[in-house]
Amino acid sequence: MNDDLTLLASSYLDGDVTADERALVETDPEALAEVERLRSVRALLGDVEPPLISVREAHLTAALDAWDRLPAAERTGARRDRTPLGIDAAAAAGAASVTAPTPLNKRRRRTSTRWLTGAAAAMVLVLAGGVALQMGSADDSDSSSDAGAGAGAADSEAFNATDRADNPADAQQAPADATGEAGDEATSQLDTGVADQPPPGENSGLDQLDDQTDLADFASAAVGAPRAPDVPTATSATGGDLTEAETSLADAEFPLCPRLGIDLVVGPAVYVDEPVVVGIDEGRNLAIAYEAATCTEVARVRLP
Amino acid sequence: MVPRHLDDAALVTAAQGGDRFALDQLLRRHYDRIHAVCRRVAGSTKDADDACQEALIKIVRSLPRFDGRSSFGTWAYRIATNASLDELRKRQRRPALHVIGDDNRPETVDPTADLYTESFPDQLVLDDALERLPEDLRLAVVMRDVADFDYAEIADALDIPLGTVKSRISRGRAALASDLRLGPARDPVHRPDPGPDQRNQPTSDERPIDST
Repeated sequence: MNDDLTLLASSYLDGDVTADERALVETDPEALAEVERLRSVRALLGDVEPPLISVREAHLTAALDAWDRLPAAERTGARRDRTPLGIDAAAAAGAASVTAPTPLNKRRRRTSTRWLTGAAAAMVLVLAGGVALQMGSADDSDSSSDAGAGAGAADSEAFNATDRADNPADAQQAPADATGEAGDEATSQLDTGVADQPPPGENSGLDQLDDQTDLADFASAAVGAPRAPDVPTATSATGGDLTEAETSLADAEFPLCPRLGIDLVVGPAVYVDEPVVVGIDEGRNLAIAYEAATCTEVARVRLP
Repeated sequence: MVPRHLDDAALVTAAQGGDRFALDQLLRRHYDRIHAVCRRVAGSTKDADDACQEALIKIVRSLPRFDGRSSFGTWAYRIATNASLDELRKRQRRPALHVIGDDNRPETVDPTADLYTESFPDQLVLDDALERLPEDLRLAVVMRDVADFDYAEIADALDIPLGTVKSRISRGRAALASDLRLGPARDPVHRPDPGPDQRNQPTSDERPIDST
């Protein structure tokens, strides 16, 4: 039996045949046998054992709980910020969308800060240890715990000083961040039971992309739309105005994923509740949302 | 209180207006098929249950933005399919505790005994056959035979031409029939088991389905 007959039998089973094809099948015993064989497959597939009632009720209860926890405005259909329509609005949307890379830059600064802070703390510990040893040899009455406490204080001071020196904006923003994280904790209750939700605060500030339209807007605005002078640009894979260290860090954090054909990393976002990195395949003119850790594609859309 | 006879569109409208009972009815009406889609795409019962739970929560959270361009069922089953694919990928990333190769199968007393099976194969055999089916064929078959999508809906969901949809469904059904030893023994599209690393790999441009 050939593939054409199987295709015809399958189409017949789905009622997607012409009158001639129908007659052909119904007069050919071999075709009819094939129809029955495929019908058996369909019956088997559809014969799914229903879950336990307790499982079903647990699922429904969890879903309704998630509904109950939605903010009232969101539950009743009030949309989050959407891309406005119209030419003038498109420019505004572009400017708004290109703010998306900001969290990426912030993350870079935070990561750099962490690295520098760690190095500074290590240096302070070594220095404090040396001082303690010298003092210990000079005056045996000093205890090592005092030296440790002093080192800890110095460490703490160095941590804060380094953090502030490295990124004054972060220091100023700290109270705001704390407020934001508190807010995230409240909203993260929506995510109860969702396995792949990021920890609270991880996605704070990231753009929420609800569908492919949002994805296209996010990507296209970042690469082509007019932007305000003080708005950071999309992050090119080649680095742009970033230092070499920052570029390599960014590349390490958001891989290009050649398998997906990404030429340009736009930045991180949240696509239908999943944290993703948005990239652009310039050759095929596609915006692609993907999971950075595994280079797994989450969604794609053709750019306008 | 929402009358029980309301159709999906009316229930969606009521739910979007904040009616919790309407939402409950809507979910209950479609629960079995959502679960069936998850069961057939994700495979194991546990993964299917997880995917089903995930899908329901995503449906609820996305419902305020559901615009009714497709039917609620089509939209919900797409979400269920995506949730199941996510669950599959999580499973593929999990380290296997043990792998039993085909070489370790016990020999049957009668080597021809399983060539023709009178009774329908049980669910485990079907699960196994589905797992061996390439992912793009499995998705097409499940969307047609479990979710009851029509060809156009599948083409739209998978972003492939109608002809490809028909071909995938046909090849998928035939491969399953051969694997399950249904009817005369023949093997038009069955491929040898490529091993655990190659299973579930799409044969073409598989990607998550747009559920918008």
